[in-house]
This record gives sequence, C-alpha cells and structure tokens, in this order.
Amino acid sequence: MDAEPSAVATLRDVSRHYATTAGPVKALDGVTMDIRRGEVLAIAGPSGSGKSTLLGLVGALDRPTGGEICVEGRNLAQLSAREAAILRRDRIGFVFQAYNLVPVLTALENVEYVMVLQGRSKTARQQRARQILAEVGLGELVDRRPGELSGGQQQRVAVARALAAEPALILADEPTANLDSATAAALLDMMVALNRQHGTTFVFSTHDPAVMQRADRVVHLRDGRISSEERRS
Amino acid sequence: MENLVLAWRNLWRNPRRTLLTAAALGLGVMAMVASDAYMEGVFGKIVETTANGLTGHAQLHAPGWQQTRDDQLRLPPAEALLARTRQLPVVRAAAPRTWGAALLAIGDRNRSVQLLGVVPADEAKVGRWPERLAAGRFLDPSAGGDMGGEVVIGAPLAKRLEIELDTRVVVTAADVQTGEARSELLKVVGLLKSSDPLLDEAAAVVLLPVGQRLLGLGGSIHEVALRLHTPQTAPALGIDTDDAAEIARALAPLAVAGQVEPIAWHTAQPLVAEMMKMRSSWMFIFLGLIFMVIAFVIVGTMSMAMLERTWEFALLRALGTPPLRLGAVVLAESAWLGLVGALPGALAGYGLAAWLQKIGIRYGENVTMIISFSEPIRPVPSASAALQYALVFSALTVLVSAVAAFRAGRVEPALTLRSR
Repeated sequence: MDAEPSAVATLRDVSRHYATTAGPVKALDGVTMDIRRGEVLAIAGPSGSGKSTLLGLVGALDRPTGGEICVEGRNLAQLSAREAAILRRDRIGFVFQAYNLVPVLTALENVEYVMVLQGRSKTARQQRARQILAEVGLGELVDRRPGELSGGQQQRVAVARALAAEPALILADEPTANLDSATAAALLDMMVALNRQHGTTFVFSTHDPAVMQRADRVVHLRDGRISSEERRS
Repeated sequence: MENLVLAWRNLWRNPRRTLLTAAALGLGVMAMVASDAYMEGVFGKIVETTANGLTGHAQLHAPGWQQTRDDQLRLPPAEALLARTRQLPVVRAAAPRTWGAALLAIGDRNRSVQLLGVVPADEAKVGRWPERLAAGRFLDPSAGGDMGGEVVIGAPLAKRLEIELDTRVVVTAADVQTGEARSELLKVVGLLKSSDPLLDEAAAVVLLPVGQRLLGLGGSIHEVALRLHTPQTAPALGIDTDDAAEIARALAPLAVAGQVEPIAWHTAQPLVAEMMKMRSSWMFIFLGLIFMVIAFVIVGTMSMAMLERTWEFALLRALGTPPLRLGAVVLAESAWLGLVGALPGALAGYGLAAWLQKIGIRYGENVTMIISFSEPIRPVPSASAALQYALVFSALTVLVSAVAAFRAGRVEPALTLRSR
C-alpha cells in the first residue's frame, strides 16, 4: 500500500509488543494507516487499546517491534537517538494529558523552550512566543508560572508551545481528559481554529465523543488493531 | 545561560530542602576554613618559635657534628668563617657558639648540663630567646670583666637545684684536647623561660670566651646560627625559609668539604619538619572525612529531586532536549547548590578565624607540642584559602551529582510517559 502524497506520516504493519511478567502484551498489532497533512485526526478507543502507544511511535519517542513508520518521508527506524530528538524538536509538537509544563518557567518561557533548543535568537523567540500566546488567548498572562494558571490555561500554553516551532504535526494525548466540559470544548475549538489557520496536522488520542465530533477523521482502535475508520468532513 | 537560569530556579523548588543541604555544606566549609586558619596559626607559631629559638633559620657545623655532637668536630677559625658568612647577601645575622657537656654544682647539689657559649649581641640578632627571661638579665660582656664570670640557666633547672639569682655556681667541663677538668665560679645573672626544653631544663649559657676556655677550644667554635633574609625583610634577596631546598641552595657557597656543612632548620629540628609535612596530609584527610559526610546529604537530596522530576525529564526529552543538555542542567543545579552552601560557609569560617585571631586561643603554659605554647595561638585567616575551599566543595558537589545528571539524561520518555 503506497502512502498518499499528502500524508505527513505513514504507518505500515506497525506492531509494538511489550514483554511483561504475565507474558507478551501486544499494544499495537499490524496497524497500517496514513496521517494526512492538515487534517484533525482522532485516534479513539477504550483504555488499553493502544492509542498512546501509537502516538508515542509516531512521535519518535518509542520504536516499533515490527513494521515501518515514516514522518515527512523519513523512516524513523533509520534515525539515531539524536536525529529523532531533532525531528521531535523541529517537526513534531506534543500536548500531554497533564503536567505538560515546566513549573519553574513562565508561560512565555515554556513556549520559548523549544525555540531555545533550536538556537533561535532571544528577540525572535520572544516575539514568536508572545504572538502564539496571544493567539491562544493568553496574551495577558505571559509572565505567569504554571502554578498560577488554571488547568485549561495550562493546556493552552502547552498547545502554544507545540505550535511555536511551526511543526508539521501535533500529537495530543487525551488533551481534554483532565478538563471540565466547558473548558475542554473551548480548548478543542481553539485547536481546530489553529488547525484551520496554520494548516498544522493535529492527532488526538481520545475516548471523548466531543473530541471525535470535532475531528475530520476518526480511527478506532481495539486491542491494538484498527477496528474502524470514519470520515467526518 | 538558559541552563543556569533554569538550574537556579529548580534549586528553589523545595527551599527548605535546599537550605538544609546548603547549611550542611556550609558548615563543612566553615569547619575546613577555620581549621585551616588554626593549623596555619599553630604551625606558623612552631616555625616562628623554631626560627626565633636556638635553631635559627639555618646553622653551620663541622660535618658530622649535628649527628654526634662530638666536641672534637669544630669549625675552621671563627673570625674568617664569620666574615665569609656575613658577606653572603642572604645572611641577615650570624651568631657563633660553642657546645659541650659540663657539670653545674652548688654546694652538694649538681646536675649535668649543656654548656653553651654565645656572643649576646649576635644572638639578639639571630633569635629572641635571650629576651625570654623569668628573672634577672641576659649575659653582659661588659659586666663580668675579661673573665666574663656570668651564667644564665633555665628557671626550671634553677628551681630543681634551688638556685637563686646572684648565686655563684661552679661549672666544670673537660678540655676537648687533654680531657683535663676545668672549672670556673660563675654568678647566675638570669633565669630563662624560653619555651625550649633544652634551654630551660639542661643548659648553662655563658659568654663565648668562657665556653672556649672551659672546653679548651682556643679560638674555635662548634656552631654558627643564622638568621636569613625573607621576602619581607629584603624583597630582592629574601628566600622562603619554609623551603629546606631553597635554604640549602642559598647557603651552598658556605659549604667547605670536610670543614663546613650548612643545614636548614628542617634538618636541625626534624620533628618540626615532619609535623609541617604531616599538616597537608592531615588537612586532606580532614577534608575527605567532612566531605564524605556531606556527600551522603547531597546525593540524597539530588536523588530525591531527580526522582520527583522524572516525568519532567521525560517531557523535556520528548520536546527534543538532548541528554547532555538535561545532564548539564542537573550539574548546574548542583553547582548552584555548592555555591549557595559553600560561599556563606567560607565567609563564616573566615569570620570565625578572624575573631579567634583577635582574641587568641590560650592553652596555658604547661601545654607542650614540640614547643610549649606560652603565648596564645592566633589562627591566620586567609581569603584565598577560604575561596579555594568554597570552590573545592562546590566542585566536589558537582562531582557527586554526576550520577544523578547521567540518569536524568538517560530517562526514556516513552516508558516514563506511559507509566504515568
């Protein structure tokens, strides 16, 4: 199966097995799919279905037991640890469920962090960080530390940080799981708006129907395999 | 720069823990700085006492005299040797001496003594021991006439023999050539309390001509004690008198094969020299013991801090932070911890030493360690030593945090984030 020309990432027969004391566990088992450039993709499924494992593999945080993953045409299996770190830094943004931010850094500094790693000048990165924080509605709170922000505001900072380096792909692992429904809806609206505005691909792992409703496409996982796929738009 | 800022802020995540660890570190540095200043004071006092005592900075003898104290081993004619010695630029003062065994008697009481013949004016330039009198005065060549019939003995010896000032005693010595006994009746004009057990307990100090007469030495002598120029007394000529090799080099021109052998005070007082060498070993052991205790505290603190932040390290690795950079932040954190603890500790240690220097530490006159501490010990605080200890402790703090830094860089993001 060839990759779609517009695919930002492709997975071919990807498996991830873990050895446990109770025997091997197949977290992912022969998953083949494309992640299309500019789409909002939801990876749905119950706990233990392999959603977070899939995001970790696409994000080059982990290596598959079998199969092949390419991100922007680069086969992740052929990357060294250093090359994988550079790929994550420059082309992939992450938003986790909680504890997303460095508590001793301000919102501005958290957003700046990846740009510091990239070696951008202080002026350039502060300008960019302020602009993105303004886009996510936190222009007035740039000097606050995470402990001084609400859960929803912290997730907005995490989204701003993920966008700061202008990545091709943002992987969000259940980003609304710890938020109340109103805050979750506002965060989702914001991410979808950013997707439309910047054309950045968003991949969510979720079991929240509200998230699935806002996605362009939903891939359902069950026991490490794709059980179904539905296109929303 | 970002690493240092991040590390500084990380340090204060748990202020109480940081302050407790820094306090332990600071106390260790304070102990080291104050101990070092104290040791400097003690050893400085020992060296000063040695140089100001009978030993001087160096001595000239006939080869073998130092080991055997054989009366027959005499130096070449004194006048020519002294003239040659005093011409050497590094020599500040030279004092000729005779030494020999003698019997000091009063009535039916007597005691064997070391008969020391000296020139008072020369001794006053070499050392300060002639000033250290419990009673009376030092020898005066003009007071005793040509016969020089005076003697100074130690106060403890006088007490033992029940001798008082102005008492006349008989000093008997054997002629080094013929073995014939020679005696003189001498008046006790002074009682020494010099801190030197030899002088105080077993010496009878007489004018040089008296010593030469009693021992049948003619114009010859056994010893020349020397005071040398130091950088403080003569910046261009002075030498480091703590350095035996430097003294040997400076006095080499005085050596005459088979006749004159210069020796530094290190050779004349080997026990003092050994103690000086032991000082650095002792400080090194002390440093090691103190730091070993502190290292456990630091390792515990850093391990706890790292464990609490495993998730954060995984997050930062996920964002593309290289392992080396994460390790560098942890090391910078430990360096800050080291400085926060060590610098105030060094300052406190310096302050403590300065205060002790001002008030002095008194041991009482009966405490003896090679020499007796009749004067208070004054620690010598050193800003450069304090800074060095602060830096050494900070560097050691960084060193023991290397394992924590290595572990931080090795955090597996996928595994850690999945386990949350």
